[in-house]
Amino acid sequence: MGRRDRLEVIHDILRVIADNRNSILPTPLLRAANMSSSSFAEYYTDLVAKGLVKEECDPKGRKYVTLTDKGFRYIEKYDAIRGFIDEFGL
Amino acid sequence: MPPPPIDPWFFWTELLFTVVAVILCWRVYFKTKEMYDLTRHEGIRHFRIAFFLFGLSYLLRFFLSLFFLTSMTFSFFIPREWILLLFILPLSYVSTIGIISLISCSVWKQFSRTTLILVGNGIAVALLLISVFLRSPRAMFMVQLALLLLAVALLFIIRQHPKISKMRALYLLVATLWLVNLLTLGPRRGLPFEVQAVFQALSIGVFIYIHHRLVRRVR
Repeated sequence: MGRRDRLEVIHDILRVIADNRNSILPTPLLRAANMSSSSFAEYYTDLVAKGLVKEECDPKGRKYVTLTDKGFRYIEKYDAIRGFIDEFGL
Repeated sequence: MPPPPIDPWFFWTELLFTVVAVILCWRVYFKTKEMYDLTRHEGIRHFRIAFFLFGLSYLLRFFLSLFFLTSMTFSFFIPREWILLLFILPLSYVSTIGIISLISCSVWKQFSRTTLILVGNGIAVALLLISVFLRSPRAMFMVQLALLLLAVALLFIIRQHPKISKMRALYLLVATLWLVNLLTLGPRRGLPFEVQAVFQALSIGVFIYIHHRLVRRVR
């Protein structure tokens, strides 16, 4: 398998969250994302800043990661965006 | 003696061409907005900027062409400095950045964002100063032609994947057609009306093709 580009990495992270009924702890997310913790931290900060994911705390104070509407839209549109980028050589 | 009337064929062809070209270019810009908002992808950013600026360039081109047409017909006098300030300067800057953005769609991975912005704007300002010095659309055509030739050389040097060469060729065609359409500006048209109309139809065909392929993807 080739090296994943940024777009694909973001899609994979968002997909993991969606597949876990839109609620996952950061540590299992890091494991499932299949990347180094420093890279993950960079992507994670970026995803929160772009409003694709948000953090929510349960009554015990544990921090969960969930997708925003924009995050769901990203997953929904990913194939079309990927196709567009490939087709137009961007 | 009354002034000669404006050639209606010329006027309506120019108007129709401009309206269709601007609508298609700006539709490409707005259709890709969501994709860019979601991904902040640099390639999509350059692509969008290029089509927005080409739309704007065709609009400015129409105003300049209208100015030449009416000033010849009604013999009114506008100082050259005003023509330069109102039309040629914005047209030169906007269209140069449009061409550079279109080329950047294919080469952005090889350069940092800051480099592309600095070099792109540097080239646009340099070409603008040349246009100011020479004060004519024909001079703008010559300097943008030089830029396009440089871009072609760059694209041949940075060849990555044979699959995308078709789109690169299409981007070069968009830029080349812009130059041909620029050539028809000015008090003395560079091409006969029939040839100009053929190139305008070809430009519209290319924009329709790009728009169609985009819409098929994004719906």
